[in-house]
Amino acid sequence: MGPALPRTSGKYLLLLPGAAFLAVFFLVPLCLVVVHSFYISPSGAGMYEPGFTLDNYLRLVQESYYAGRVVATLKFGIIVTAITAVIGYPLAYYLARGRSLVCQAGLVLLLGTLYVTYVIRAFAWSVILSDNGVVNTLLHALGAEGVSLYPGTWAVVAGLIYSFYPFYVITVFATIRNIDPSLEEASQALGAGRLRTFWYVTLPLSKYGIMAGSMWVFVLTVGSFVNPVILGKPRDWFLPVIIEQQVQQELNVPFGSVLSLVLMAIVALTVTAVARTVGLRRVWRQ
Amino acid sequence: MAGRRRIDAGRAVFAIVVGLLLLYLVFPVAVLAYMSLTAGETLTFPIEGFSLEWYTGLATNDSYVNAAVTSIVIGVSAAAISCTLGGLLAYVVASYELPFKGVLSALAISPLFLPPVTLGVAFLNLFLPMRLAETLLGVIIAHSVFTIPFPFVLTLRALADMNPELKSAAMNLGANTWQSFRTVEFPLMLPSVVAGFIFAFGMSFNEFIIAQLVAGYSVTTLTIQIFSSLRYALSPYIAAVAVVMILATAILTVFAAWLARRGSSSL
Repeated sequence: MGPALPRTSGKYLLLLPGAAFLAVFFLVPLCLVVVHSFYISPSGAGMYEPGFTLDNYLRLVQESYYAGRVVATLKFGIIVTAITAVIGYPLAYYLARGRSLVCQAGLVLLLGTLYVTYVIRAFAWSVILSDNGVVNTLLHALGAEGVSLYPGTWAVVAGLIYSFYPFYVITVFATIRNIDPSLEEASQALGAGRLRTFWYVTLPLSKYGIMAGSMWVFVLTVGSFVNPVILGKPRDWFLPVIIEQQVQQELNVPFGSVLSLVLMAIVALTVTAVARTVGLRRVWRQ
Repeated sequence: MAGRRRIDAGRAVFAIVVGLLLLYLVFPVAVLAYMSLTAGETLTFPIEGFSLEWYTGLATNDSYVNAAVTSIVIGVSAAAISCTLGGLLAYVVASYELPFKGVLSALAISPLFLPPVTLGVAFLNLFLPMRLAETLLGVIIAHSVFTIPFPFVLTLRALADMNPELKSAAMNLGANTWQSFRTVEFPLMLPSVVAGFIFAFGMSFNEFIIAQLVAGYSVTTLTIQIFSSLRYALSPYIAAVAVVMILATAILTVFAAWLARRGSSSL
């Protein structure tokens, strides 16, 4: 039992670099966001003046524009999550249960595009939806009227769904893969049809995956900056864009910090709620 | 008979839906690839003749080449830092009894959940007084924090999947902690660490808003370069660079996923 003492002090020594790094460059900045949210907003040059004021918080409540942006954030989050949850499921099911070559290729494709920058994804949709883009050219070729989608709300929604549904599909895919196929076979052997089996066996067993995947889509959507800027009009801009404007263009760090805290609160509440029902482990096993 | 036909109809609908969804996944990438082959000066559909000039032009386009180099430098440095620190943290959390394990894990994982824009604002709050804003080092540190969850989790999972008897066997045969780490644990966690490195690099390479907030107008990464060129003119250069970036990211991610799976199944 001789080495007990060096090993105990050794573990704290091994812990030190990582813990210190995260404390200084992650915890301290987060605390500063809270501190600076009470600082005095700049008048003229400078990003903030030290002090204590609740003005930045009052501004959020008093100026209806900002309350409206918070509502818009939630609205985009809910719409994108709901559509993704529905359209992503069949693909996840197919990839989890199919064995064909298409299926393998689809999975590789899905994984491969998972981290492709949102700048390029949004750019691709601007090319597809613009007035003389792919969709309108095809519509004209068919003799139909063109549609003006870009820039606009539905272009933003299309871009957001495209950006985030790989995360949903991968999460649900993992859940369906873990369902024992013999349960489905048993249900069918006992006389239930495919639809009934799906409704009473597969769907209930994959509900945690659906919830975890939806949580990811919601969290990613409410935090997205690039898509609304590239694909939307100013009325489609929600919190992340407003935060960036305050911090980088208005040089108003205190108010930007208040808005950041609101966004973090939305995300924290969502993650906590889902983690409570689903269990944290499932949430982020991809 | 009627039942049989209904099931077949259901199957057909399912096949069509899945086909459309796969198309949705491929279509934008295919459009970009097609557009990048234009011989014209603008991104119009259909393209005006085939040419590879935008790809060959990329190699000599200083702003894209410099931005790509900056992105690679940031990505490699950030991935090296997050793998070393995240891997070390995971090793300690997995191997020792600690009083505040949960807090530590939460700290290493939470950058994954926070909206990147709020992380960027937080970094800026620290970096402005530290004079790290608008510097390369600032972006590297920011991306190290942003990417730390992946190496941390992958290493943790590799160590959790490891047969604990391997370590005690090594210790029983006379190895000390360092020797057993070097000869048993490290080789077994290596594939996961490498996968973590690649994931972290890919995330940093493709990240935009944190870099933009921290870098201001002083450091130009590839995503910042693409984003700012989008605001002026839609040149086919952007489509060509996008295709190259998608291919690079896709290959890296699939390779890392394969490594990560191999890493945890071989134990």
